[in-house]
Amino acid sequence: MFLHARGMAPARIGLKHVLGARELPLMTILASGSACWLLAVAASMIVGTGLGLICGYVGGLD
Amino acid sequence: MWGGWIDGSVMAAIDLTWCFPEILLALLLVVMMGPGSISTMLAIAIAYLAQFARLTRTQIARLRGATFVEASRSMGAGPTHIWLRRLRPNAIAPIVIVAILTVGNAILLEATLGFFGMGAQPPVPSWGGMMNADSVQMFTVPWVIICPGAGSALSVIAINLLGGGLLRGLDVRHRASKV
Repeated sequence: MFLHARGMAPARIGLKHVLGARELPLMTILASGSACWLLAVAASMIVGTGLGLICGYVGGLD
Repeated sequence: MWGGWIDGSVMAAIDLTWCFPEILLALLLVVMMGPGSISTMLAIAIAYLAQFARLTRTQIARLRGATFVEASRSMGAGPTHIWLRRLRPNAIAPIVIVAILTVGNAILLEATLGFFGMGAQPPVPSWGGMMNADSVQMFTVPWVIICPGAGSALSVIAINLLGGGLLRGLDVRHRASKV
């Protein structure tokens, strides 16, 4: 509110103060090796769903 | 013709990975590939691959007999059109929910691998790695184990709450019952 009253643009407040203050540690964790589970689940979901879809398709052709 | 054979073979191969407990399969894969972030990621991905493939396959098989698919077929739609436009969009929704709920299990699996020294190696931060590094001081300074353990538990609870919220948010029947 204070920054807004000083005439700072909302985009600048968001980027510099909100993201910088609150979300950056989260981003750091996600970018690090700790988040390998997230990438693993994403990879597993994409490959598994793809396989399931292909099997469902070719299985239904008969 | 050969579709059923391919379907059966791939599903049999996937079912083979389902025979092992996830932790055992992941440990086996990490031992084969060597500890590290990439091998941990691949091991977790392969360990949970079967459930996504099975769920998608079951969804497709269930939806194939649905009325709207029958209607589409009776209007002259081919198998590719039905698959792309009718089956695929309807089969994806439950997968997203399961994926979010699987993240919690994956965090625990990664922490377990890290605790055995098979996960991401220092200086890469990891809940299990932190517990493993300080396990020798477990009885003198227990908080060095309790804090990473509590951190991983809180992560899992947070992800499960997110999954539960999404489940309630995306479930049309649940929303309809509230109206």
